[in-house]
Amino acid sequence: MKSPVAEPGTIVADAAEADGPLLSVRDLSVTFRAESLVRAVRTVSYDLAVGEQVGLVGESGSGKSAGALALARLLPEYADVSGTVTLDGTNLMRLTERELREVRGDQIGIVYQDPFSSLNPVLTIGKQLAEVLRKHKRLGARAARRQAAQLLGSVGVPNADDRLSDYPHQFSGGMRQRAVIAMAVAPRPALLIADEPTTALDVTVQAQILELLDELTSQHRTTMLLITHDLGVVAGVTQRVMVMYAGRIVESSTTADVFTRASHPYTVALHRSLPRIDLRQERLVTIEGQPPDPTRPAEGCPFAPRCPSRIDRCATEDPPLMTIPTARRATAGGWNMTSIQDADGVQVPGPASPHLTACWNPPAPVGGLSERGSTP
Amino acid sequence: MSADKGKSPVLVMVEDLRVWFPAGKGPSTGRRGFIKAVDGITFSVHRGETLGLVGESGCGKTTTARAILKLLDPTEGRIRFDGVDLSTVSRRELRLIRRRMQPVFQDPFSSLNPKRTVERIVAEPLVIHRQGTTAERKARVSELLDTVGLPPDAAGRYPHAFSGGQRQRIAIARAMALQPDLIIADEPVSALDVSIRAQILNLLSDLQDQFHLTYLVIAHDLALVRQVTDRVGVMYLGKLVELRPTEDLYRAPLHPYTVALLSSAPIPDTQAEATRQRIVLEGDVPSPADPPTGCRFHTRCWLRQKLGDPDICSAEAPALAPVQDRGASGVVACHFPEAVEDSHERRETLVALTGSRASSPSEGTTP
Repeated sequence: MKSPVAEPGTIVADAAEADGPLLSVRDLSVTFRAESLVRAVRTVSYDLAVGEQVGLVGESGSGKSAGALALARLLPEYADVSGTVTLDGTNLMRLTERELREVRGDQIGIVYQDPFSSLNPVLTIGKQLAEVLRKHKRLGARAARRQAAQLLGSVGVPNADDRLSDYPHQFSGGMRQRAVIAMAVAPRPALLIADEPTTALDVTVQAQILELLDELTSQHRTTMLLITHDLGVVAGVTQRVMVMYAGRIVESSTTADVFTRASHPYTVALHRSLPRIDLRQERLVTIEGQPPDPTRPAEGCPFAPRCPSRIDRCATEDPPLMTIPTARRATAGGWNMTSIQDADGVQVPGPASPHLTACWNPPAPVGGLSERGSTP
Repeated sequence: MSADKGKSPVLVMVEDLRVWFPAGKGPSTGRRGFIKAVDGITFSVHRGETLGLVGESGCGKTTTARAILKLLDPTEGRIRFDGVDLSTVSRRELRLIRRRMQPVFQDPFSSLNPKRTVERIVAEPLVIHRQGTTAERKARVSELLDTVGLPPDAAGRYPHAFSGGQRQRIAIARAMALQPDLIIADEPVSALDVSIRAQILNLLSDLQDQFHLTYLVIAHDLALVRQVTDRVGVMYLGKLVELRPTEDLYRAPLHPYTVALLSSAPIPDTQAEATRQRIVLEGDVPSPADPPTGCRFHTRCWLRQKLGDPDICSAEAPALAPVQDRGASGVVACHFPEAVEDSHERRETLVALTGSRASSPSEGTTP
């Protein structure tokens, strides 16, 4: 990887330079009206600064994808979305459908897991790239075609000129994802949402695509929100990570911190339960139980039923995101919500925020991999 | 542990297996061609061991598994199960053998019939193979559900009432119904939530100990494969390129493709990720309808480039040869395994994998 991972100092400086965050999400909630109400995302707030690469990690049903698609208002009719999403000063929740179409593509690029679903199977790759360029860069047909070849070459497709006349099915999986990335970055969006961009790809191709995303976003100072279930994927390309569980952000910090000083019991357990490529463990540590049913939100902390650090308070009060010292003092039970907020201010994960955890009893910091190599 | 299991009797013997699928006419030749999904592989699975097959999509690992299950017929070559040649076996014998090997599939959402109760799903193999009376089958089902960690009342419910992890438990209970010798598990946890995977992997490991099962596990996740297997076969474009005891493979890989796979695997460690030098393979996996001459990996091989493109790589297919003379066990198919051993690419890859505080000083220290 070209860009060093943990440079929180420079990021903070960059953020301070700009007037404010590029993207500001406040109290975002997504509820799907299915047979029963599915509370997919529950009052999530965070900021993204210009040029940051941020990971949003969680398993299926954690709300990571619903929350990200809601940013561009790409959710189906039966999704109720509330809260505000401010991109570069504009509240996207207030825009008309037509205004939104301009924002999508121009300001927000999206790369999905399955490159097939983002491509039209009956149009050539060249036609689809040219269409994007004509629409968003207002180029003429011939100029668009020329730039399409250049663009395809720039994402590492060999013989780009010849391959413009290929149809999507003639591309391999990795090449298709490259073409999709080319289309997403062509209008130079300020924000790139990459939703499991490598999950459908083979491991050697995955490494190439992650490097490409890293390169392109660093080059153009594009803000990237990388959504994944795979902790290994965020380690290489992000500076910050937000961990989601049951529709909430439960931990937020620099990527390095989340790996070496994880403080939410869920993150810690996740680290410990993963098979490790560096050594064989005697037995995998399991996280007992199942993720909660989003149609039946429980009282208290959603991770409590599976949590080894559970205390009485966890059953009744859902912990907010707190700094770790505040969380430790709250363990004693003497602190109520108001005093926690007084102590911390209102904590929103952002480029300059401290390590935050939504836990009443955070375990002593453990990195699943901080002991790497110390065990034979 | 792997050494002991290696000496135990052979349960499955695969000899020079080829599985070709007819393909459309080639654009250049105009002749009918074949997709050579598996193109001459030989290996054995010993009783009580877990053998892993890894490789990227299209390498032939799933086709190999399906051939062993006799879900498709080999174009050439032979598969023996407990000494019986599956290509010449009578229908009656085949029925008996099918009881002894059972598949577990990747996706428990599509592998369980949604219209049947769990009891009927788990009892199905017993019914097909006419085992026991209705009452005996019922008792066996509750025993099986208990074995895989499901509550007794699961029997009367339907698959949709269960989460992914529980459904995979149901699929495992069904696979266990006939007390098989061999379980073939194709990506058994990749469709499951990350926090559930360890439960299922531990269950498979417990069942193996308890019932002396033999496993053939197909997976693409190299961390998982290290955790669950005794030996690993690495496949590329229809060929086995390396087959080694698991720990040997991860500590001292000898095929350039294996090194490249290890080098590509994401590591959940920001430091290692920031400093590692990845081997980036050029281009895509070539088409199995028209595989490269000589060594199939030569068109993408980082080592061949480094060695100045020796002719032998494109002229001659390397045989799968034992590696004892290197003080190791297993087999590798490369003309230049010693060059892999000496390469800084391999050293870099291993240092990144073992973390910045490498356990063995000879393998390198903090980068």
